[in-house]
Amino acid sequence: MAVATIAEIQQRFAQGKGFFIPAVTSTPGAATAAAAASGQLSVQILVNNIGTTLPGTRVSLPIPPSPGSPLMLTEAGISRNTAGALFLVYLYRMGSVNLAATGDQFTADSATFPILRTEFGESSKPVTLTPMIYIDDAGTATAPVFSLKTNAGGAGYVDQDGNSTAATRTMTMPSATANVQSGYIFRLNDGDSGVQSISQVDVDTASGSAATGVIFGIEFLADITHILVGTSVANLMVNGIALGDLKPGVATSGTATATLAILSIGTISSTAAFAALAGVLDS
Amino acid sequence: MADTDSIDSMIEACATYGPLIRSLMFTNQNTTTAATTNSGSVTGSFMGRMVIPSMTSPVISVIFTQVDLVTEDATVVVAGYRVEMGSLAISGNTFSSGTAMPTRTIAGTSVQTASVIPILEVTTALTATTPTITITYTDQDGNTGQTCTVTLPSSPALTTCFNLAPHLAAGDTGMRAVTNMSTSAGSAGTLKVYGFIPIAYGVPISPAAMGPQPLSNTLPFFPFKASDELAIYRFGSTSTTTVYANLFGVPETGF
Repeated sequence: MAVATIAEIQQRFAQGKGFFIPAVTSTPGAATAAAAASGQLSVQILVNNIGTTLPGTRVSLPIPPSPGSPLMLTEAGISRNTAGALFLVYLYRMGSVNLAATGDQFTADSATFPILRTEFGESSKPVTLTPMIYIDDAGTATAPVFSLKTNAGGAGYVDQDGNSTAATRTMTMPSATANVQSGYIFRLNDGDSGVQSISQVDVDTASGSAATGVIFGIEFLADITHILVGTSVANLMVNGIALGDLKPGVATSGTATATLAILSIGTISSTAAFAALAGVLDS
Repeated sequence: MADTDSIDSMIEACATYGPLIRSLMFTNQNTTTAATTNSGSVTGSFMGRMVIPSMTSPVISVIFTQVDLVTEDATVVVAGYRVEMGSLAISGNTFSSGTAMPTRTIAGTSVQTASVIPILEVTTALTATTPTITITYTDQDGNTGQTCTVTLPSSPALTTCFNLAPHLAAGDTGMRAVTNMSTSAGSAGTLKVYGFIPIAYGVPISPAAMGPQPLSNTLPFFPFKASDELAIYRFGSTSTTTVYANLFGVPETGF
């Protein structure tokens, strides 16, 4: 039965039908700030500190094992010794792109997108993801230029409405030596707000040296923003009824690599975050 | 009507019977052993405990309506109810049973409690090389014989704690009781499993300064009985540190 009241939430939590996650993140490296041609917004990924070796090994914040029901996030407290916006997200790994060569350079992961969730009581609805490139291996010579399309001009992504689309905007890395661990949100076509899937990345200008990026689809779960240096507590039941599900969405086929993470947007800082995430099973 | 049904009735209960007010200063002198992804994924330390004092009728329990948690380093600090559910003497691989999670009235309804964040705590330093600890337990729905397995770092230090929640059986989110514990290796030390229900938390930055925490709508107003334990754990650091806690408790006189 679905959770209906705050009293029920407290009861379920006390009954062990919930979760309390003390989350301590990794300390991200110094990212290179985004520019207008690279999505405007600088993004850093904060994942579980233990087990993570950035940039390549990113460990998800731990959740209860294989939950049978949605994990309704009802509260999040967070601190970080730097000001900025922080969001709890799932990162679905869509594939990687070789920035060292021109042409069609996307290698898709084995899972088939879109990611699916139940929405408004309707199962298997595609989730709109925000596409991001994350630098795994930094170049040294030339700022790569690339876009979500094929080299022949065909579609490179499926937009939020399910339309196969060829990007008309390019992404230009803000520097020839954009640091590893830098994240940039893709510039999409006018009218588009996100993607359901990505099928190709056309590299127009190669890096001139070895360089790779990982493509993630970001699923927003909760605003746990902390604007000032210090601590924020987001009571997600009374601050706008924003109850995200910490159980990951499922791929259309196969298993997508899903990483529960905190995303820092707009602020670059080599600072870890400390969070407490609490909620209950919605079953 | 319960004393805690309204702010007015809580004021009256405090005025009539007197609140429970405590300041606690806990210093952990032990360097905590860091956890791994096979042992909780977050480093934990036991900071201290308080035993709830005796009560005189008609007072039967106390709920904490304000908890301040201050510490020196950037961490997650959590206060809550805890009960020892079982212990394991590494020497001899000997299990001793403890106490199951109790039934308590939460938000007006009597419920069988279970721990969403069961803690495996080193109460005597271990001599053991990467021991695998197997815990047999009853889950949040009353299913018996569930197993939780963690592999600890070698010879974890006194007061080191490991979060068992990520290692519960698939689909489980809580632990009601522990029915067995065993180790694969080791010659000395003691481990205990504590059922823990958070009632308040702080996420201080460094250097830390925390004001009163806003009341949570998720963490329950847990009714503590006389002789119950309130414990404080810290997550996210291996360093020695001090936690300073201020607690304000409202008496309850029954339902």
